[in-house]
Amino acid sequence: MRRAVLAVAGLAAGTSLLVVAKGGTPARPAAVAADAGGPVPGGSPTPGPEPTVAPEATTKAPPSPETTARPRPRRSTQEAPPPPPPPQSNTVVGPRVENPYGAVQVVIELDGSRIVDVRTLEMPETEARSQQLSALAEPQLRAEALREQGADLDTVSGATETSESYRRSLRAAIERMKRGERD
Amino acid sequence: MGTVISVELAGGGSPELLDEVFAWFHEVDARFSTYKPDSEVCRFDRGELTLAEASPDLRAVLARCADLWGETDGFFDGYATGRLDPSGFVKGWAVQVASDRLLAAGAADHCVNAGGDVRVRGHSAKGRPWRIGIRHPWKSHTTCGVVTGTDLAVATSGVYERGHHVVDPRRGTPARGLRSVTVVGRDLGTADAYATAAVAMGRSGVRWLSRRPGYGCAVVTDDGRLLRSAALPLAA
Repeated sequence: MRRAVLAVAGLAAGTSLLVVAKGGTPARPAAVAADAGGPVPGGSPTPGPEPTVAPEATTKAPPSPETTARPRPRRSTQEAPPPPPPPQSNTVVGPRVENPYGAVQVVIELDGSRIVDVRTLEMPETEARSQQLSALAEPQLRAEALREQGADLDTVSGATETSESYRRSLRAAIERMKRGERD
Repeated sequence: MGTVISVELAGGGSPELLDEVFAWFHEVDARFSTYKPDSEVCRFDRGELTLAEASPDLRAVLARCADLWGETDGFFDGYATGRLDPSGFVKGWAVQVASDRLLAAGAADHCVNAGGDVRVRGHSAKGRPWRIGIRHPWKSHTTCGVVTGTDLAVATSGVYERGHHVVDPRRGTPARGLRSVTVVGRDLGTADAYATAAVAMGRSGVRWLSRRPGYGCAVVTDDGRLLRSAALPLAA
């Protein structure tokens, strides 16, 4: 399976257009991200401090990758500083951008320097007012209460990605990515 | 276009084919962006270009937008903002063209998603018809329905983040009544324009949509009801 993402994070001032493509890799990149971010294996009776990507979004964030801030068990060896560790993460988190209806925060997932997925960590969630069901029915269409449904999806249709706060978070994440920053 | 486009080839295809698809989207962005003063759309809008001098793509888009203006009784209006802005059609149209080219190049199983406008053909990598969720307008991490098929265009127009930003071109005021409109059919440009027009119409858009042959819909009203046409290919 080949999968690629093109981010056109255009804004009125300073449009940035970025093509990123991934070809010929059989596995979904999300699995790579999850593996790289798994918990530190065994040995310690208590789990290490959990690095959080964004405090408000911990339940929705994938397992966070180990960061350099984590205490290292073998600190005592002073000689021969270890070679700079390779980037331990392939995700870059954009800033949380507020709007009058909530907040948006995107995460981009990388394979090398290529974007292979863009996800949202936090999105506006205003209260559903399904309890205020009106007795008015449109005779042409079937009417029902709005409820959450949908599992095992391949993709999602929705207008959110065109929103201004989504673009701002995405653009900032892309700029961080270009500077070599990872989360 | 200011959006995120993802292309998934579930079988076959090549990196070169992906490059061609993205080159097409670059071309569309350069030609149709209303943010770029030197785009063909902006030059045409300023009168620096006559219709006869315009590219075949721009002429085709303008012709289709004129048709849709008539078909939607003026509610799909490429000049709704006071200047030429065919974006409500161009995004879906560009994805449709990309999908047609992928099919012609032998990539029979693919999914193209541009900012929530989706065109699928064939089967997913799991070997089943594609499953497309419809985003829940209030709980954006969730979906409120699933459509499935092997040859579908799915476009959603909604007002759920920026508030009511779709303008009713007749009143010049923000449209109200419908929170999210999803249109499903075969042509994504048309589905995209229908969805935008229905949001602009407000409540009367529901009746109008139910009369579009070849297109099904799922509508979420401002008061939290889901209305859907019998023609909608809902997943079990």
